[in-house]
Formats: sequence, C-alpha cells, structure tokens
Amino acid sequence: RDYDHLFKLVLIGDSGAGKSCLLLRFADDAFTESYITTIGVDFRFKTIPVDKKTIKLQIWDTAGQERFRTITSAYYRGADGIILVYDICDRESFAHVDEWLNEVNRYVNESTCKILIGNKCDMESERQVSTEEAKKKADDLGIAYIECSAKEATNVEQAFQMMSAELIEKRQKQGAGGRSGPSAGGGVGLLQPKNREAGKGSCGGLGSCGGGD
Amino acid sequence: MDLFLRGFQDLRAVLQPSSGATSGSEQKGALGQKARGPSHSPISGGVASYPLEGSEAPEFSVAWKAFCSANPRLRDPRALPNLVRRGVPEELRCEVWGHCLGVAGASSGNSSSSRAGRSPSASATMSPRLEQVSTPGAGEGQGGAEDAEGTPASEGGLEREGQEGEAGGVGETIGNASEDKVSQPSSPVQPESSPGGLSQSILDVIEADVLRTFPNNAVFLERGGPDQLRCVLKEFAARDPELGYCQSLNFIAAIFIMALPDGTSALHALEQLIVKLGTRRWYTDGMKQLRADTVVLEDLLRERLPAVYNVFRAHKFDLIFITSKWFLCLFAATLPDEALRRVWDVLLCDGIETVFRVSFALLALRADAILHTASMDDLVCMLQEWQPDYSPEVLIQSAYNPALIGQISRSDLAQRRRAAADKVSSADTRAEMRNTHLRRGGVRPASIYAR
Repeated sequence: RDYDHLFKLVLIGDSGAGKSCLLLRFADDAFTESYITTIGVDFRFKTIPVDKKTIKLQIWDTAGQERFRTITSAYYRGADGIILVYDICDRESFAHVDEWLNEVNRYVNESTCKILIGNKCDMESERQVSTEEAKKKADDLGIAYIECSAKEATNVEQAFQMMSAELIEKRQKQGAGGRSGPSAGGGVGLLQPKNREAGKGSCGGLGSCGGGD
Repeated sequence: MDLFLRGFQDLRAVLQPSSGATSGSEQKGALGQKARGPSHSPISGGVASYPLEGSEAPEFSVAWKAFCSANPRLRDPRALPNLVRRGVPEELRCEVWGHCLGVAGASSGNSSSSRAGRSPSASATMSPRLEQVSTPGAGEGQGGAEDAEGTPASEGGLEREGQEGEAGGVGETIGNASEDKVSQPSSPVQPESSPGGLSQSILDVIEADVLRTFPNNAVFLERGGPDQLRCVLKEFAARDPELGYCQSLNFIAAIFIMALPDGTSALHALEQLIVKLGTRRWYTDGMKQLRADTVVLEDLLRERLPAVYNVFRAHKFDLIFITSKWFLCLFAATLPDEALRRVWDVLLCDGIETVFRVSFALLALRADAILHTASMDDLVCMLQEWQPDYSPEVLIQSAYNPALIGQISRSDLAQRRRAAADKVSSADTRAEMRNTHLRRGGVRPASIYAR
C-alpha cells in the first residue's frame, strides 16, 4: 500500500453551501461557476503528505437537501472525519449547523473528528455570519473552525491538512494501525443508537434491507 | 386529425432520401447539446434488431412510415414498443414522447410549432410562464389502456400508476392527477399564485438548482431553459405539496423543456412520467421506493449477473451510490445526449421496466472492468467517471437482450417492487422503534438484537 494512513471523510451541509466546490478545489485545484447539483453522493480520493506521513483521504460529498439524508446517512457510518460546510453569505445554512451535527452524531462517535467550514469568504460584502459568531459556535460545539474560499483557493488545503493532522494524532493515541476504522475503539453512548449497526441499516443496498437487523 | 396529417407530412419530408441526411446535420438534438452530424441521425443509424411482429423487419424509416400511416394516433400497442426500441426519428420524438405520457401540447396540435420551437431563434416566442392547461379533447393521441402497468406498490403515490390509461382526454388526465395529488381544490396552472404556497426553503433550493442544471448546454440556455425550469419546478411543487421539490427533478424537467414545445407540456410530462413509472416515492421524504427499487436491482444482479454482484459485495459497495443518480435523474445526469434520447424513447414507452433493464445493461456492459477493480475506491471512481465506449444502439440492445437480463414480466417486477417496499418500510419502523426506545434511555431488548 502506498500510504501510511487512510481516512474516510464526509462533507455535509446545506444545499448550495459549496461542498462540491470545496472538494473540486481540494482534489483538482480547480473551480467552476457552472457545476451541477450533486445527486446522492460523489466520491473522490486524494493522497497528501502530512508531517512526513502519506495520508490517503477518501472523501464523500453528499447531496445537501434534507430528504437525501436517508441515502447519505449510510455514508456517515465509519467516517473518520466530518466536514460541515456552511455559506457565510447565507445565515440559514449557518443556523442549520446544530441540526447537521445532531444528525451526524446519530451515526458516528462523539470522538469522530469534526470541523466547521465557513465557505465563500471571498464574498465579504455579502457576509451574513461574522467570523466571531462562527468561532464562538464552533467553540461551543468543541470543534475546529476555518473560513475558506473554494473560488480563491483560500484555506482549502489547510482545512484538509488540519483535519488530517488531528486524525493522525488521534490514531496514534489509539495505537491503531493504518486501516482500522475509528468506530472500532469508540465507546457507544446511549445517544448514538446507530453505532452498533455499522455496515447495516435500513438503507437499500448490498447486505442491507435483508429483513432488517 | 391535425396531429396525424402534420406529423405524417413532416415524416414524409424527413423520409425523403435526400432530405434525411441534411435534416440530421442541420438540426440540434432534442436535448440539444451538440448538433448531430448525419451519421448520427437515428434515421440512418437505426439497426433492426427487433423485428416487427408478424412481418419481415423493414427498413427503419419505412417501418415508421408504415406505422404512422396505419396508426394515425400511434396507438398500436404491440408495434410501438418494438419500433421505439429501434429509435425514434428526431422529428417524431416530441409526438411519441407526448403520446406515451398523454401530454397535450406535445402529442397533438402543436407538433409543427414544437419543431419550430427547437430552433433557438424561436425561443423568443416561448413564454417562460406556464399557460393554462390545454383544453380537453386536445389529447386525442394519448396513450390508451395498453400503457397502464401493474401497480408496483400499494402506497398512495404508486397506486395512481394505472390511471393514465383510463383518462379520456388530457385535460381530464391532468384534472384527475391534481385532484388526486393536491388536497386543496385543483386549479388551472397559475404560476403567479404558486410561489405563495411554497416555503422559502423550497424556493431557495429551486433557485440554486436552476443555475446548476445543464449550465453548459447552449440550447437549454438559448431557449430560456432556466426561466422555464424555475416555473415548471415551482408549479410542480405547488401542485404536489407533499412531494414538493426534490433535487434531480431539475434534470428531468430540463430534458422535457428541451424536447417538448413549452413549459406547460414539460410540467405535465413530468407529472405523468412519475405516475406512469410509479416513482413518486423515489422523491418524497425518506425516499422509500428508491431504496426499495435499489434492492430490486440488487436482487436482479444476484440472480442474473452474479459475478458483478459478488464484486460489489466483496468491496462492500452500496448500490444506492448508483441508483441515487441513475434512477432519480432517469440517467439524465449520466448518459450522453444521444444515448439518453434513445433510453428515454424506450423508457417513456415501456415504463419502469426500462429503468431496471438499462441499469442492468450499463453494469453488464461494464462487467469486465468491474471484475478487475482492486478496491472500493477503484470501483466507485470507475463507476463515477464512467464514459460509455459503445453506441446507444448497443446499450438498448443489451437492455433487451434475452440472453442478458432475460425476462422480467410486469407483474413479476411489480411484485418485486412491492415486496421490497414492504421490507424497507418494516426495516424503517424497526429502526424508528429502536431509536425511540434508546432515546428514552431504555435498554435494548433481546428481541431487537435477534435477527
């Protein structure tokens, strides 16, 4: 294998927050004004160096519309990191941050790495959420915060670097090897009822729906 | 009558040996991404692989000519599907699609204006606003009972599948549909009033998606596609508040906007399509029928394409990755222009069966590559970046190749869909009970663990 660590990341957040653009910027260092609606889930992987280690990131980009959650939630399971994106020019998308975290916490450990990204920070004149307010929110939630612009390539690489560094540290603390998922060692709290069902679930797909679990 | 005469005259013009080639090169495709050269014209490109019943398989164009003269209303329930599988002449596509869905503007009177409407220069004449529903009687050419399929599931939205065949006129069809779907009294299409009933969040998503639907398609943009799309999606959401708007419908509506004469036809086509396919619950909250139909496809693969199925299983690959794109958008965000047209020709004629057949064929045609993928990453990337290296004809032939997927009877398929929907529902119920129980701080009872 050609990497030291493999991490599974999932991009979540309201429709139109710029998840796909962030991923396009990170994976291909590109930006387009004419992208199309993400339906279901998209996938990219990228290998990056972090602290002299080679990190392979598998990144799932999810549809933002609420009704897709029954589909996309299957991808939260076993995620090492969650990247929650909102649009700094859209207060609604910021207001939904709690909702997104509650949703994702049903499927992942409390210990799963999470990061809040305020995207579109190039559009300062249309900003609706101040950096201070977002920072405070992230502090309250106990997660890292960073402002990015997929358009101008501001902080995009850094956001993924930041998350990777944290994931490496966490994994080294756990003393786990390269490939094991984080859920392997995580405790199961009563508020995360779905944890024990990793790999199963009620979504359609291979190995599931076979009369329940 | 007008329909037939006009359609037939146009067809005759097309079928002139000399004009057939030129019309192919001059016209933009219905989906309009690129002008097609003569060699890609479906008229010259159709290979007779499905002989017409009871006769020598004639030349493609002659077959259509004969069919149209014998069936002024495209009514023959046995011959039409066979013919459609071999391709639909560009000039007849609008009428055939309209006929299959029972949509007034497309299948009748407007046939000549629809053709004019395809040229970008005519875009100015098309109002981005939806007009009044066409008057009853305009839809003389719409599908008969032969188009009705077995009801795939007993849930509310799916029960309507059979209604299409019973409706007498298009106005009536639409009246029925709205009464059925909308709890408040049905009203004629009035775009001005519709946004009032829609939540801001739906309007925001529609607005964002209008700009994210075929943004590089010149024909769509030139025809005022985005404005029409906005109206169609808002109106659709207003007429079916429970469904509202689901991302992916934007692509389907856009295809109709490009292929049919105006926004009104596109709206009705979208509504009728969902009824005909029995796919309303693909799009409603929870997407139950989508998850159920994913299980149906999975079962078909296990039975009939086990090598591919085993690779998916080995890589823990969830088919919903594929079906959420292929099914919800009906391949509109996946297949290239010409292939999409051919698939939709068959899909609109044959119904939901085609969705499974085409999905199966796409995987079967890709079987070698799938079998050689080393990891889930490889597999997912391959499927995601997949570009067909075969002709649309091969795709359609494979989808209906008896040696590949084999027989799927309508009743069998309906039965499978129903059973899968039941399974998904009960799995959801169990999950819900489990969550509720745990949220209250209870201990998981043994019975819930028990498989």
